[in-house]
Amino acid sequence: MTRVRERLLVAAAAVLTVGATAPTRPISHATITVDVAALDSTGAAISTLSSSDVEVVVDDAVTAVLSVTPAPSALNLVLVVDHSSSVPVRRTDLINAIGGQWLPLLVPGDRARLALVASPVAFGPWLPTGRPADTNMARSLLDRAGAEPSPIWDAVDAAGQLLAGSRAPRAVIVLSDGRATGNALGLEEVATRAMAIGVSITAISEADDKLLPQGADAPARVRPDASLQWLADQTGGVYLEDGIARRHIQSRADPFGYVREIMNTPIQPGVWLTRATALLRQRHLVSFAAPDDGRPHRLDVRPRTAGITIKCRKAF
Amino acid sequence: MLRLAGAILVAAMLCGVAAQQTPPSQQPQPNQVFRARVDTVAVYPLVSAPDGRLSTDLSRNDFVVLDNGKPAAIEVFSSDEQPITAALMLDMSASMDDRLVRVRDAASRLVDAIGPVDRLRIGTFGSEISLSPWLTGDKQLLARILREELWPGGSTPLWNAIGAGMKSLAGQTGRRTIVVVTDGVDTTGGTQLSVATRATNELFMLYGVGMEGKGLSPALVNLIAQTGGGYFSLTRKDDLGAAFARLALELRHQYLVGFVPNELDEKVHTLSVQVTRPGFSVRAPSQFLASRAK
Repeated sequence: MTRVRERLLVAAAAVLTVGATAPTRPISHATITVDVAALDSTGAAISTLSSSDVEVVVDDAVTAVLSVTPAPSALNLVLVVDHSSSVPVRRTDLINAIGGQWLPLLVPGDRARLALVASPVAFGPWLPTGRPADTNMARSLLDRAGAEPSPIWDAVDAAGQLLAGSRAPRAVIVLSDGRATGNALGLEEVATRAMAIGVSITAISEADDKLLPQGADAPARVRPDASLQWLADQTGGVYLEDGIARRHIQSRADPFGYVREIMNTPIQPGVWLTRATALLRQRHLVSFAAPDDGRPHRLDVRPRTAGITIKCRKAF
Repeated sequence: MLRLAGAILVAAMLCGVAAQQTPPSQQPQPNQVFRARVDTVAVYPLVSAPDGRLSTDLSRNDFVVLDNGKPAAIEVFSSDEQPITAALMLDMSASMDDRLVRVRDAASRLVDAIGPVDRLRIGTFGSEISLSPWLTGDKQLLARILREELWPGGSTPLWNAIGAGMKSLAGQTGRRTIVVVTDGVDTTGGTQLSVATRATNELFMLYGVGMEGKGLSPALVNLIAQTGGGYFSLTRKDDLGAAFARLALELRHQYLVGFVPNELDEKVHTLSVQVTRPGFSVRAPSQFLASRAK
């Protein structure tokens, strides 16, 4: 969140209707700037978002949009990788995706770092930019992976806190199957903390979706993807599904159909890392005036133009 | 086993409510204090009256402790309700898939049943062995863990999971209990040897809840008996929540008996805790390591 020092004093009489004898008090406002992703109907980034395309709602009240500008394309990013035993991505695929496809995407001006879901979270060094593919770098980090547990939320939180205070937009990409265990922090707490420091969390899901019979009771649907999706929605990130996460639970009733689906939805973490990174370079900054009271406020940045989806954090 | 380097042995009974949201490493320990000799060994026998009900009104004079068959002096005794410090290890292996909701609901009931001085750590085993960093009585926090961190699938690393549970309670004083809920045997090649050794050396108490299916293995049942714990073998129709309620009841109504070993020879001794009243039965550890306090 960017708090512009130039504060707007709004006469209380214009806002509060508390009776003629009540003393009037000025309400201090600040310009709040949040970064958003604007996507078209295909999920591609919209590069030319304008003020007329969005509506800002603070605590259920529509607020005037002061400006909409493209965000700096330079990344301020931590990529959190989950390589625990339940993640269905082969180690070599992960190494090639990170070292061979994602690392070459970094350009001068970017500030990026790798992190591994572990207890405690393992961070790589800040990465040099503008260098060719280097799978050794990814390999050395993954070598630090343990078999258990999978404190995904703790790792995402630690990654986000690492970015606190740095320039916006600040982002975490988490590549995981969503099967979080051994966390000190809960999902909701992590989302709240990320929103408080203006870090968006983009999730690349490798999560399986299962329907488990429970004897005489109703089947249980196990959806680790739901947590990843919720976290991305709350923080203004984008939720992307790789291979296994794109398969439909219904298709498993038809073995041939399921095999076809597996063929059509290969696990390709590099493809989705590339896409997530590209989306982060095309975010926009939306500014609006809001009460400067140091309290949390609900936020909804909505599209006013058909066919646009806006991803923005749900509170500031 | 309670061992401390000073002349005062500190154990827990009346702990204040822990500051539940402090980081795990800063959580306070239960704080009831009693005095005993450095080398006092504390065990927590469960006594059943002739009518089958749990007995809670016996006195020190009703107990006899035999260390390698010879009477040992009882230094510490309490019939007060004991706080629960436990690691709840839930089997999430693939064979438990169709009991996921049942296990989660029952564990929730156990969480609801714990008291303000009790502390629980929730762990799972299957694709991986995982333990929450929280050993806490905060019911909201425990409920959050049950809601967010139970993921079915994988094999059954039973023994390593029990070992991990013990390791997670290693720094705790007082009675330390591992409760394992499982439907089968270890499928990962683990063995009970190191777990059994640790249970004896550090006097962990082990409880088992065997779900329908293969249930509890004989090796696990034997180990449970050796630690003075108990087990429940459930059919599909049995109420898992009731088993947890019984388990909590048992843990609350165990006596504290602290005795001084006849010889500190660094060897495993047989142990027999008996009640002199006729018809009463006692469940207690059957062996311990007669070790000097370190």
